[in-house]
Amino acid sequence: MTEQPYVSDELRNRQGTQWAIGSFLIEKGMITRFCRAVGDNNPRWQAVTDGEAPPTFVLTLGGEQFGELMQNSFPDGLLHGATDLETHLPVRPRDVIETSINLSNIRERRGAENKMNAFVIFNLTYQNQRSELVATCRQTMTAYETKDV
Amino acid sequence: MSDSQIYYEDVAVEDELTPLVKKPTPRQLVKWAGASGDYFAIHYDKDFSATKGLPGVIVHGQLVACFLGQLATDWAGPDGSVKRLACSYRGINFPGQTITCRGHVTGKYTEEGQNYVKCGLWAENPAGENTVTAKAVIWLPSRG
Repeated sequence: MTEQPYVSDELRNRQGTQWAIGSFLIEKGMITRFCRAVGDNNPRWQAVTDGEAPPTFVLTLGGEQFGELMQNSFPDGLLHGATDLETHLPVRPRDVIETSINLSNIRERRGAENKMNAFVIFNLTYQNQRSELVATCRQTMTAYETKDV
Repeated sequence: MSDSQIYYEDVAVEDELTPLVKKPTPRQLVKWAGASGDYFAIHYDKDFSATKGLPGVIVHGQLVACFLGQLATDWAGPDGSVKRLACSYRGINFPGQTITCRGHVTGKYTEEGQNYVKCGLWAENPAGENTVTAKAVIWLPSRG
């Protein structure tokens, strides 16, 4: 019987490529929902006319699609390893943010108890409707095998 | 959170950021899942979590990252801005446990006429362990 590769060919073939995750029209309610979820009541994020989103808000833009990609690729164990966010411009209500993703690197190794681990690095780019770079984020995901081998 | 503005000239290395205390509940985790789109079941289903080798439902790492982002933006004041937040997830937080977010200034520099402060941030669990650590770069206005 051929052993199933820990990292699928589908994911491996995406290494070095970039693709769009989605386009997100920013509504004031999205920012409010984010702030309520974090418990951040800073009035700066609540200004009606010239409000802006907290810098970490962009992490949510495409978060569901990113999560599904990772969970489908690694249905066993999966955790965030690192998040490196750089912000260049504020995100404001009525902005349209395009999120794209680049699969930068996959590193596999056999760890303790002979179980597989993989470190998968993605670079996400966020651009607004004026094609201005709003933010970039490097996400490192840690996948781990839970079943006994 | 302070309404007052901190200025670049007033900051010294080793200055502490005002701590931010959080106690995420299961309800908050659900709210975060809705806001972020992170519906991975390790954050709401303890039986599923057990199949992943985890001792229970765990707090989303990126929610804790956003707590550290809040720590930084609160300190930066209404005119400051967080330019970089680089987080490493080193441990697990559980709902119902207190997370204390702390930080201190590690450096300051001027580049192309802009004033930046570097900070080390971390999230402590009740055992005093740093479950998430971060480096932040914050732009601050000048009294100039």
